[in-house]
Amino acid sequence: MASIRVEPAKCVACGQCVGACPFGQIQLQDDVATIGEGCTLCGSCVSACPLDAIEMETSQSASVDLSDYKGILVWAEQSEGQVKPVTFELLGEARRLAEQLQAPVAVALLGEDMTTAAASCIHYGADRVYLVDDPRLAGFNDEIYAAVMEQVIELYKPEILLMGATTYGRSLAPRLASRLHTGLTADCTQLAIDPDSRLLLQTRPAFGGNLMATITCPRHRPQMATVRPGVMRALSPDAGGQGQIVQPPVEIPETTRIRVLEVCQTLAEDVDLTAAEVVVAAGKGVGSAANMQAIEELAQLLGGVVGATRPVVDAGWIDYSHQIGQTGKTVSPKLYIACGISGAVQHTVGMQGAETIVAINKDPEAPIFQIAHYSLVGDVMEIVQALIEELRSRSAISSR
Amino acid sequence: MQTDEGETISGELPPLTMPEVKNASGYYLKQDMDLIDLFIGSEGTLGIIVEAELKLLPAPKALWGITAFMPTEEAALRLVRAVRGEEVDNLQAPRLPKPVAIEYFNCDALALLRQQREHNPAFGQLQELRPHYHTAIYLEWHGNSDEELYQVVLELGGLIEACGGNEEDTWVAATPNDLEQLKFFRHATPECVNMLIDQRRQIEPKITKLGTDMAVPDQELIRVVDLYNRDLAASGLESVMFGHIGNNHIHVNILPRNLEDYRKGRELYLKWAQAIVAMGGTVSAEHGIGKIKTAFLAEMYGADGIEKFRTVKRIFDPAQRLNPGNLFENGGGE
Amino acid sequence: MNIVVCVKQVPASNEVKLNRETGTIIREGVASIINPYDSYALEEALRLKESLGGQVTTISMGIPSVAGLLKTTLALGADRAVLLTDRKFAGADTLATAYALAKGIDRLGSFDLIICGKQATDGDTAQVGPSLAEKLGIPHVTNVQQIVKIDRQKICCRRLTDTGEETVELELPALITVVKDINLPRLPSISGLRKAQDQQVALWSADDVNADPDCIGLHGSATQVTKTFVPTREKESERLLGDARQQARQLVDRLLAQGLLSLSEGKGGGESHNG
Repeated sequence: MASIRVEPAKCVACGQCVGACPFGQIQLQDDVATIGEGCTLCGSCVSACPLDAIEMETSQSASVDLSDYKGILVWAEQSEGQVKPVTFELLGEARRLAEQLQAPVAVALLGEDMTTAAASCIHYGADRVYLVDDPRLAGFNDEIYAAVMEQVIELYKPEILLMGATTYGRSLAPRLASRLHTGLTADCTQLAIDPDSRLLLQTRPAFGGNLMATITCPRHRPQMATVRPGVMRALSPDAGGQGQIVQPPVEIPETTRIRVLEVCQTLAEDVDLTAAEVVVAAGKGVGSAANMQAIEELAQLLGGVVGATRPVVDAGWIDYSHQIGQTGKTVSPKLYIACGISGAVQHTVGMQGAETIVAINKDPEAPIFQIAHYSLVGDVMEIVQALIEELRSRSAISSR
Repeated sequence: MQTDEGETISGELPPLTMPEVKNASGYYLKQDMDLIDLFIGSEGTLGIIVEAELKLLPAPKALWGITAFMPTEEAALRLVRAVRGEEVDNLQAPRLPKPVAIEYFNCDALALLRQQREHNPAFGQLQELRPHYHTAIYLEWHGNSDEELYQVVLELGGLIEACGGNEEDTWVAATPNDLEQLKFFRHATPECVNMLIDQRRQIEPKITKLGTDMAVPDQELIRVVDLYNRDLAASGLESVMFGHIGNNHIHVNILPRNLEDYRKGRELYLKWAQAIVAMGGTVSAEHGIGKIKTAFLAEMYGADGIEKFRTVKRIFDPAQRLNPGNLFENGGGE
Repeated sequence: MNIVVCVKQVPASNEVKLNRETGTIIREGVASIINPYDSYALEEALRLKESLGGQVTTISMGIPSVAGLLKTTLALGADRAVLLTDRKFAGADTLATAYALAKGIDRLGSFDLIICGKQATDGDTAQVGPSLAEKLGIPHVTNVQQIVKIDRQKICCRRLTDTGEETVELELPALITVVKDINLPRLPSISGLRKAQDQQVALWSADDVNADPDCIGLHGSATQVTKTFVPTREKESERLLGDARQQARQLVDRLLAQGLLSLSEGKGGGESHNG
């Protein structure tokens, strides 16, 4: 059984671990840190301890021969033959990681009539495309896709498998990880390779989003991660890019217990939030559903679109398709104006890639100001109104 | 009284007999009183608060809210009185700790909520109000632990059944999220009323909501609810009743459909003010007098009382500069 | 219809305050609640039970105090509640959690449907549901917003996707994860609390469910947290001063200077005239 231990000889009772524990389970007793019964072995204290006095004992033996696994595989999500942009974003990231690993990048492409799609994957950086082209794969099906992906992975043994954190990706990835008995990290915001161990360092918000955690999968393969659309950057496509299309010998299940009866496309893909150059986002601090109109107006004046935090969406002030953050969309516009947003990490992970961040908040201590380029402190709606008037009067002058 | 500038304000505060109820009408005047009580609720007529130091009460360790839906208004009133520890019929009531709040929503309020829930998405998050829910009583207890309040609520259940209700027809909230739902329910009634009035004002801008704010002593609760019900039924006016029944302080909101309703409503309001003063109650228990209800205050304290208030005002505001017209007509200034 | 609902204890507020100077979490006064998405799962199960009959069982893995939370599920109408609690379960990632839940559900006996919330509000991974379905060898569908039809053999659901909706039919037994639009969870009643008072939450250890020690807890987890850190925030920041008007004016000046605004394109809406 795994356990955590404080080495009394090394511990100087500095208290760093006490504050680091997200569960409030560490106390200083007789000048030694003591870990309580509610410990979940999350390891926060281990990395917080400046003296390496806390040790987590885990078994180090791997369940499989890790050296059999090489290269990076990206699941190419497609819809009606069109590869989703997140796939290209993941390919861009995979190329960067592959350089460090000195390993190839492949995609697994499942679908029907995928020849053009396969070529586009190569243009975006895939060395190889494992193409399973079959009418039974035309539409997404967790059961069939998991069975095929399992075989592809067993055939080619990638050390890393990246998937888009889309609805389908978030459904398929855990099913697959569970079947392969390997680790999976959801919604990574950063990926890197540890030069010593070759391990994939997967960083995501943790503990309610107030801390970032770097997660590894040391003893199982492949190391699996999902990444939300918009987080990584695709390479510019190279039409002359060279790659190989391989058709793996896989068996496609004849029967399934899941049947999709009807598909309704009701939402415009990604609204236009992820592509917008200007985003005006509202937090609970705008005060009411009625005030969303002014936010809308400001966005319109700036030629931008409206975004929102989760509490605003939960309150029903705006549709979920506008949600930005860990459980919504990730945006990286040129200009981001945060109105009445306190700046919880769950939100900021979805917008910190913005080039210029403007924050408007009544609380001068709000964490949003720490990532803002311009900070406006005061009544949110008053400032928003003032901005609307300022923009109106200036555009009236400049267009005269 | 010594001011910061060293000036001395002196005067004699006249004696006043105030009703023995929750009260926000006129000045607070009592023998050997703390002067701060004179300023609180004086509606800006005696001075301007430029600095205030607040003493905070510790937050309770446990807080539970319960909404009980009773099958009749009589049953609901029985429950209120039993929870307050009053003798009710032959009821063998357990002694419950004193709740921090007892609120009331009559059948018209519930009907309005049902209707809004159906048609207005803003109220879609409201729990379902079953057809047999007639009158709602909200109760809140603070305690030292959830276990303690669990027991209180079980005893309350017995009391609900003894008063003619059913334990099943209750909502118990002990977590922040559940409490938020009950708060949403409580605030939904006045919100629905305001929305409805806003709609009607678009057709007839001269009407407003007519909301009463009167309280009576404990022993007059049944009589005052009866008075409201009888008068409203006879007038044919549309209305809802809700509010702080623990203090016998029920807001009757008359919802005029036209100017004629509005006129009838105002008449009722004045009639009730007289009746409530006769019961030893107050014409405003919470919202204050302002400029619109000065006639009610005169009804409550008579010309004598108002003259006493003027005397008090002259001590602090001899030039009659502060909020003139609030509480009483200006007059007798220097 | 035997239904199992998986629930998780989470902090009532996910906006946990952080002391930025010390990088530590301020935990004062944060209550524990049932993961809100799991409340929708439980409500859906209770409604199915009310219309089709059967039993609702809630199951969770956690520290012993989670039993109190499971008691609430009994008060809401669940027929039994099971808590997997053992030091050996501690430190579990989603893989080890799914395994432990699968072992617990194995011991419960036969079931027709498992309902989970779409994700937990503390971790937001949305992994345990699908991972559990795989461990149990049953089909699953995520993000269900409506159960269209259900009978002994099949369940038909409408689920949300990135681009709209899908109607999906699954053979039972199956697992679904639900979104918040699916229903409005009820509040417990006093009679529910009275009923729950006499009911026990079953506490099962790792041995009770025959869990393989190599598959549970930190030891059985494939992922490890190697480092946690407070996100660094190093940006040049300018605090604009003055009242609302003055701040607005300064901001527009700076954004214009940075080339982030173009006012001549008639973006002033209907009121501006070009030319």
